[in-house]
Amino acid sequence: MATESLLRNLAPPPFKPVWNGNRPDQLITERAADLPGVVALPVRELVPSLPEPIWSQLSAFGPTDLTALRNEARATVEAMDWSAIEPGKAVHVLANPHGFSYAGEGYVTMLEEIAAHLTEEKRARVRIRIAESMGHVDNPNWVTLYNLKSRFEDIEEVPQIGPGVRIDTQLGDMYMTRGLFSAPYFVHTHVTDLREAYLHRMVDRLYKPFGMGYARLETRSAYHFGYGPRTGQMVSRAAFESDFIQQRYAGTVVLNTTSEGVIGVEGDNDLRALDQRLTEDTLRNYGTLIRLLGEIDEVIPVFDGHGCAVYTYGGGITFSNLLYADTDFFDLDNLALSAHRQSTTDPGLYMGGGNAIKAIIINYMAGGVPCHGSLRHLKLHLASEQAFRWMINEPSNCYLEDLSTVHNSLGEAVGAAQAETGCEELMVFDYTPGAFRVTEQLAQHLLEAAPRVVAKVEAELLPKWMAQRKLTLR
Amino acid sequence: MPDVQLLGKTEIWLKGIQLDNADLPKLANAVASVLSLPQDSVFVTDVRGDEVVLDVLQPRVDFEAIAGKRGEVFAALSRVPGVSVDRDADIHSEGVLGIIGSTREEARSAVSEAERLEKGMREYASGRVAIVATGAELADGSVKDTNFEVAVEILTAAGFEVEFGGVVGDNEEEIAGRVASLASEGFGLIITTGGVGAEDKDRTVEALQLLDPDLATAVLAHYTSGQGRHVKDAVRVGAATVGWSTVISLPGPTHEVRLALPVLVDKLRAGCSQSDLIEAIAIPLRATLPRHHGKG
Repeated sequence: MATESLLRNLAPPPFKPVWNGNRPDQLITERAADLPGVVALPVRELVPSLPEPIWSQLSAFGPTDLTALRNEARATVEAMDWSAIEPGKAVHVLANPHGFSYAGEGYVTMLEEIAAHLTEEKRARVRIRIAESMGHVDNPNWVTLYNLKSRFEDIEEVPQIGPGVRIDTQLGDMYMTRGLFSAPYFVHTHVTDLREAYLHRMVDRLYKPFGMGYARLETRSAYHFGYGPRTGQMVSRAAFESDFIQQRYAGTVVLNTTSEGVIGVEGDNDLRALDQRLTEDTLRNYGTLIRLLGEIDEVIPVFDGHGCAVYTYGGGITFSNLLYADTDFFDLDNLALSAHRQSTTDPGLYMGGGNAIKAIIINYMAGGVPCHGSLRHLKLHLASEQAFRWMINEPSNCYLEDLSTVHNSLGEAVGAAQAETGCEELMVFDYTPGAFRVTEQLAQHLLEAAPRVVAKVEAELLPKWMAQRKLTLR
Repeated sequence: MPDVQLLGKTEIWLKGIQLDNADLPKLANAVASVLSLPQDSVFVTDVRGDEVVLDVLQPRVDFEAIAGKRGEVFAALSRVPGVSVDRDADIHSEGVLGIIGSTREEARSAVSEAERLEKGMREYASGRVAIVATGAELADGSVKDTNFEVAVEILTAAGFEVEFGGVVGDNEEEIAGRVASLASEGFGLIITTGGVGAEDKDRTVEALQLLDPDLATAVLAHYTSGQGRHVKDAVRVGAATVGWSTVISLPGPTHEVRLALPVLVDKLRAGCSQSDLIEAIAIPLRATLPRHHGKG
């Protein structure tokens, strides 16, 4: 891998049209990748032991041909036990927007292989049901973007605010989204890229959609509110373990990822076993990068891709991992994160303060998720009036106006943010996988810190994280 | 009543409010009073035209105290000198505070649903027990924990779901961190074993004090601090409250755990206070200590 060429030539993914008709693909002509002094630092230079991808969106980081991924998906699905499915019956394969957003064609290929196997082996009437939790706002239209209607017999997006179905759980009644579970059987799918880790903290992570993506609004609220303790994963576990879900559950298939791309396709009928198997990979491959982000003293993130604040990707991980990198949120015993000692904040949800982040530059940021709470302590520098208008006219984000200063170009926004904060370092979130796009000095800082952080994770943190989850290192 | 997180969405926008030489602290106090919030926790942060923005400076609120209070908020505001409320005045908030502007019926339904959920979660948590073994000799593997088996035997028979909460050394912060973590995972009862003695390495009660400064303790035996290995004046067991969880620190010896657990079960069922609970547990434990050490 030629690092020198990556530093110069690694282009970010292009913008796409979005649901609400906004055209960031037409507006944004100046990308943060082209800012002077900004380089692409391959994550493999930081963590050389990352497993090799079987598929990546960029040829710089792995094969872009889908053959290996398809073969592995087929082998995984064939090895699973589908005997619970009565031949000829309908099966819902549950998909999620994160899968399309993060792994695109790789995720669609996995869905295709699940559908093909169940159709061939069980004569199943396979329906793809997308748990559309993000809504049709600023996100790209996955169905048209990946031509899903022609690639699957029956595909439908199911919003969390549609009709629900009441299920009896150990915690009392909960409500799942009816359209996802209106078939005799369903297959759960997931992608391990590390989003919302500050919430699930890699505890029963694969269960999370049962309290979030697959749940109707009121049960999702129960996840969010945290009555007393961190109740989110309790909600998810209880929903999954309910008779309603267990009677329909057929198995789970997961794309195992690193920030470079897909490293494998894993499946199991036993969700707990699969969750435990994947935890070590995720803690090692993403945990090391997150601890590296915790080494950054000061930085100005630049949003330059699809995604809303904490859900914006850079270097194959979400901005939230930088925002909350102050403290080790994988350390379940970390008293600094204890809900019960934080009288002035949210019990159960206390996270780091993002002290390294000095301001945020927005070339483009999607709406759809309220992010005022996450950004309210920061100054926002918008690169154009249009990007600002799009942002504040999105109902979730209108109160960001008070935090915003609008500039005439990306360069002007960068200059103003740097002058205001005295911080020169930038980190770009533009959906480029496999490389942190940062200023050269920050790249050097990360390169210097990496060997120490990698060694600490391997020798100290990973064994601790695993032991806290009652898991043994392979 | 359900006590819910605001998740950082703490602003309340009042629209259709006319001000004429109004006293903003009084305006904020009127709102705080209706919402049963402390007066120093609600502030006016912005006034623009007919809009007034308030901020609630606390992370959680009593859900029922704010639900459906739209009319009462405007009635209270109209009584503040210099404040008049338009006919079409409205109230808006993101997140949980949005329930202020709901109708009475919607509010009743939402409160009822929230109560149901909270009750279900509390009941679930109250039946789950985690046992944490403390001590450097256990953490380094030189000594095997034998308390968990006993706890499973006694507490399972009493109807609890019992899980091992792991082994932690003698570090206060690590013990407190593990207990807090287990409380967060919905264990309604957390029992630590070991580390309640009078030596410098015995830090369990001190660890619980980090989480609950008002924890109840009971003395098992007095010592003279500074004599021998004793840096503390007593051996104590403790009962703390951490969120929804009751945390009990017991001595390490398994025969003492066996003595304490049936008492713990009885007293929990009786709904005893933490101080009565820990004192009841202390009674059989005191009897096991060598007489020449104890003074009371």
